[in-house]
Amino acid sequence: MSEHSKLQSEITDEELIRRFQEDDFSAYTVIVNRYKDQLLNFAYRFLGSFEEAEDIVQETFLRLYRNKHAYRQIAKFSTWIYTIAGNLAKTELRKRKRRKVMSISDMGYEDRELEIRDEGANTEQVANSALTEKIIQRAIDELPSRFKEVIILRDIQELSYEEVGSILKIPLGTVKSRVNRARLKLQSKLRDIKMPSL
Amino acid sequence: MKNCDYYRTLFSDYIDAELDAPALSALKAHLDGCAACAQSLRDMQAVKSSLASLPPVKTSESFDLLLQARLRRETRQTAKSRRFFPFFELNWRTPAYAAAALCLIFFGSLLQRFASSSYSATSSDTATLLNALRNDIAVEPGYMVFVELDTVNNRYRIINYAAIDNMDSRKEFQRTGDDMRALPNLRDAPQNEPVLIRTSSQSRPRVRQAEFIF
Repeated sequence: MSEHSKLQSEITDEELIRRFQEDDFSAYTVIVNRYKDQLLNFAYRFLGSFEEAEDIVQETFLRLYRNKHAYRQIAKFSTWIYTIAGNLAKTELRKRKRRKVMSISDMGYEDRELEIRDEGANTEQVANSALTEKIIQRAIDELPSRFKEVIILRDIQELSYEEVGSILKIPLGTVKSRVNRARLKLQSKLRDIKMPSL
Repeated sequence: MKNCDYYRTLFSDYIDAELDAPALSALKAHLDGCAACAQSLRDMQAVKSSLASLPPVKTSESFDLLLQARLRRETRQTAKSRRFFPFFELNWRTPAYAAAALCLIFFGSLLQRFASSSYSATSSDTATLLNALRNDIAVEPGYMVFVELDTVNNRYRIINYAAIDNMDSRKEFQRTGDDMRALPNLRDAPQNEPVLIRTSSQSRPRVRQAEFIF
């Protein structure tokens, strides 16, 4: 097995960042390959825009490159890098809110067909019959940031409650209650959005 | 008597199998008699499943190339700046190291002298401080650092600026945060007279010196 393959598969994140801190650039490359899609999924679900999400991930890795010595071994590397990406994504969302973008409540004409109501469909049917990704994403987009971030990390990224708490720097009890409220809110939003085919 | 609102707060823990036995038993009893909550719980389970089954996205083909280009640009800017400021071509580490080194190298020696007699620093001490910083301040390429000494309050501040990544050749910097450190050793020293670190102009007991690190 080549040294690079070994780096890819066997070495922990914490060892990789330690090597990168000692100017081993190949370790940085492995970190990028290991995390780029995970972080992209997180940023994409958070922002609802692929292009913006890629920018966030690029910026996250640039910051890692510039500030590699800011990482200390007391924290898990994964939570550290998610925190960087999360902060960047939240900043982007705040910027976007100032630009006042479209929301479910003010959709354009081409989106209105998604609102055609079907009184016969309940939330379970909607969810179980493979809600389109677009509709779920819209419902996520409508959540307040504090609920959006917990539900993405917990239910899409499938991180543990403890990991979510570390990334967001909030207590475990708060994570749990926010996840519960986020799920209830999402349920409620999905109940109100009907697909024309249902 | 607990109501539906209370039981709905338990739904997530139920779905994630985190409920303890008494709470689980109470919730099950409630669900047996409450069709609305039972439906709501099924809805939540369906929502969770839908979220977990969302298709993952992957970075575009140009992602790696773009990142490499941005890294190269950073490196190029560093090299270019160093051509203009060759005497700043140093091995920088982190601002935290700088603060630590600052305390150890400069104020350590200051304290030694201060403990035995009152002390008034000369401009050469300022030079010592800045020299120590130049060698030990830990800034990545593309950063700019100001060191501000407040000798009246026995504090110093490292003010960090980061270069904003722009496409043209102009350099812009954004303040990224200050690192304020107290100098308790000086304050607590036996003969606690004000320490004066003179600037070249000697106009006031305050030094503001810029270090450009590209």
